[in-house]
Amino acid sequence: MRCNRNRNPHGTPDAATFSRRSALALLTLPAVLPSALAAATSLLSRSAVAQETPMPSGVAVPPADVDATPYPNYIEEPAVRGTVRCVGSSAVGLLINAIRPGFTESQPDIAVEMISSGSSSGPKALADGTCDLAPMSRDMRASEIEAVEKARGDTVDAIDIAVDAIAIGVHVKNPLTRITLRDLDRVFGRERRRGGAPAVKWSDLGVTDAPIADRSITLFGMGAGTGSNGIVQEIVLQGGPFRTSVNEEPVSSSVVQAVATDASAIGYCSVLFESVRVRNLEIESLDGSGFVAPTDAHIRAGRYPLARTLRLYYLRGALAKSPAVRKFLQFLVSQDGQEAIEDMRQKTLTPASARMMFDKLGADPTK
Amino acid sequence: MRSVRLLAILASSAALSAAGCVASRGSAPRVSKPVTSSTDFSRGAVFDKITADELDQLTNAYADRYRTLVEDAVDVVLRGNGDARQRAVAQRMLVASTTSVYDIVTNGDPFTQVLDLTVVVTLTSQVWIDADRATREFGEDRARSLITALRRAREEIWEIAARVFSPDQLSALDFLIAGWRKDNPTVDDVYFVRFNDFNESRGQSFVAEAGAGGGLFEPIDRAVDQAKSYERLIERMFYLSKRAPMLVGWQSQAVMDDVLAKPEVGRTLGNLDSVTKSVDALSKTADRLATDIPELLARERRTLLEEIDRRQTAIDGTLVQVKAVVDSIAPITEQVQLIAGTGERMLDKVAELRGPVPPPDPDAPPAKPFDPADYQRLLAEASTALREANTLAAQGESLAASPAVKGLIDEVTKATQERIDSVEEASRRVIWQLGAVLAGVALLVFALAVVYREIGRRGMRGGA
Repeated sequence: MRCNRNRNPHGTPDAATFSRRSALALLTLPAVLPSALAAATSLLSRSAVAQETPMPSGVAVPPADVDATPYPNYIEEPAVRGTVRCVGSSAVGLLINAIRPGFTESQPDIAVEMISSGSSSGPKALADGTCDLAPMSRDMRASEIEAVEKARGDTVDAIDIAVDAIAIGVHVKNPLTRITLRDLDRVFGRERRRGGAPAVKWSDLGVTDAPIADRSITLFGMGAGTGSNGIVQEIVLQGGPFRTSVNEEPVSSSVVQAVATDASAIGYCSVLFESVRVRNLEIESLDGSGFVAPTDAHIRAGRYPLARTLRLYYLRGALAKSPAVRKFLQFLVSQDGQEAIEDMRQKTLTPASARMMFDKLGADPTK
Repeated sequence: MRSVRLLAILASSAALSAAGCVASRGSAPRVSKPVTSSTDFSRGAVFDKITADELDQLTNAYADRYRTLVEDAVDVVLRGNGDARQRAVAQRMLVASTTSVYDIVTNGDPFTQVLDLTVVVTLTSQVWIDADRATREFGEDRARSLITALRRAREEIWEIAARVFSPDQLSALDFLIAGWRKDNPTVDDVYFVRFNDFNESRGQSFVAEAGAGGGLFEPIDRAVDQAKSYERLIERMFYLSKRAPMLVGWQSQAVMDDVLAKPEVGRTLGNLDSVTKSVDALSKTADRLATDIPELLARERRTLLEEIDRRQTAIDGTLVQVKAVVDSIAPITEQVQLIAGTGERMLDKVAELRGPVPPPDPDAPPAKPFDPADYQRLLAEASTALREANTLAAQGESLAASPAVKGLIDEVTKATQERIDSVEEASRRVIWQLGAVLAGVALLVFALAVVYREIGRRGMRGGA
């Protein structure tokens, strides 16, 4: 079981990257030092294993600080009357449906309607005026925003309500533990916009252990148009196309299981899905300062590069005229709303982010 | 005759209400009729629209395929495997998973079948593959076939689900299943988990949206679906009856393997092996086996029954409530029967009185003069019947208004409520009809009495 750092063509950064990383490392030294020492101690204690399985280059990003800020409290008064119509993502729709009972308890005269017909249906409904909120599991595209704004003569805005992340998983027997964004592009990208030769076998990623090293990499991912696909395409492939050899699975749990049953597989899907036979890789951070594991703390703090926010889009002018919609949005980012999201095993916003969203709604959005 | 008819109505109402309770408990959301297609989740191919019947056939075929896949995989685990525990675990898995899948496809609603199959097959694969139970139980080599089979079964059911749900809805379903698993990480026996077991607000809103046309479904004609579901249920009976002997065979095999996997039996068999050289010892061991095994079987049976009893408790609670409601209908039934009997007697009496008036016989003795006692007796009977009718009405009202009964009715199901309402309505109708009949009878009797008296007077005049 060996993953040879020296033989990894992408493990050693070039000079420019090195100097940039050095500067960043100096700046972040006080924060990084304790965990680096801990990591060094841990590595020393596992010296025998460490000699055999050296990890790819890079510094592990320390865990996030504890955010002691409380979540904003939802203020029930005044009671308002109205209907909140939501059209969009089923995944976000599940959260809305889970939150709805708590909300209607405090605001019995507000009816919340949710039609789950996919993220793409949200912008259309917003443009048609058939919904007040468009829940989406991906960012609204510039063209969609433009179309909505043109149709309604109003400005599109969004509020974050939860966070999700995409994990890159390999079979537990695979010795690889971390991967750079460039290597991921070599694995999944057809055009490899980050550069480098295609990675077809595990040895191309520096894995030397037989029999995996000589095996072809089997690729698993999600279907086109899904939020997971969008994130990988945008962040990892820099907008480039996927390889045609990627086996598309219908749902995230299916990707995890595909990797769990194939020792030479690699796949990406929502981090919420796990298997004891799959190991999630640490991914190189966007600033190249180290590798970040898809832990709850890193994801919520925005350090993990393949994270996405689950959002509700709305029209600013329309929001100003609808106290019911504003009340509902305030509830979503409040303590009660975030607790309901946590009950759904989804990753909540950090209290600071939630407060920011709450304040954004509190102010007159038309100003 | 009327009382028989009434009884029949009441009995069928009670039976239907009980059936309604069972059905509403056991079945998940219903959707039917033209089940529209979906795009292939992976390749974007477009399926033709499929009907609920076609979907039904798909799930039936899937159940048989699932059985074949798991049966073959379990065969590999069992082949040349001397480990009694592994054999027992594999047999149990085979029996439980296939029984569950056949149980699901005997539901008359294909939409529910797809939902439940997706849930069960996904959770089963997660337990045996993702939680690595297959490798832990059987070792890597033996587990491989089971892992491959369960993986394939899972792929196939999601392909079927992709013809029912939009990709976005598939994703939501995936999150729901994952949520359940995260809430119940230690539950290994997932074969009888159903979609209805999911958190109500999460699961039901998902189904409501899918069923109401929020996704790929068109709005459902529930009346047509209900009729079709009964038809499909009958087909299911034949379907299951053909497969039942095989399942029972597996079940008995599983029980035997369970018995053999018990440490005491293992020890006994070990002893038997070591003393085969001695005829005496062999004989003694054989004797012991002869006494132990029935006892063990009996114990196993007892444990099984206790377990069934335990699981039955929840169901029993509901059944007791149903029974209470049905029992509370019984007094009404008796009262209605009583009234009906009185009514019949009244009608007989009226028929007697209303019989054709014979022409006056010149040789006959003088007719009996009008006797007010007859009239009074009839009125008394009519009054009794009306009083009973009033009592019945009052009882019916007080029964319906009683918080206890209301609570019971609410707790059981809406279906039961509807049945009780209909019974109450029927009894009211009967009372009103009886009242009207009795009033008519009273008038008729009065009129007949007047006529009778007039005839008598004329007869007397003629005689004079």
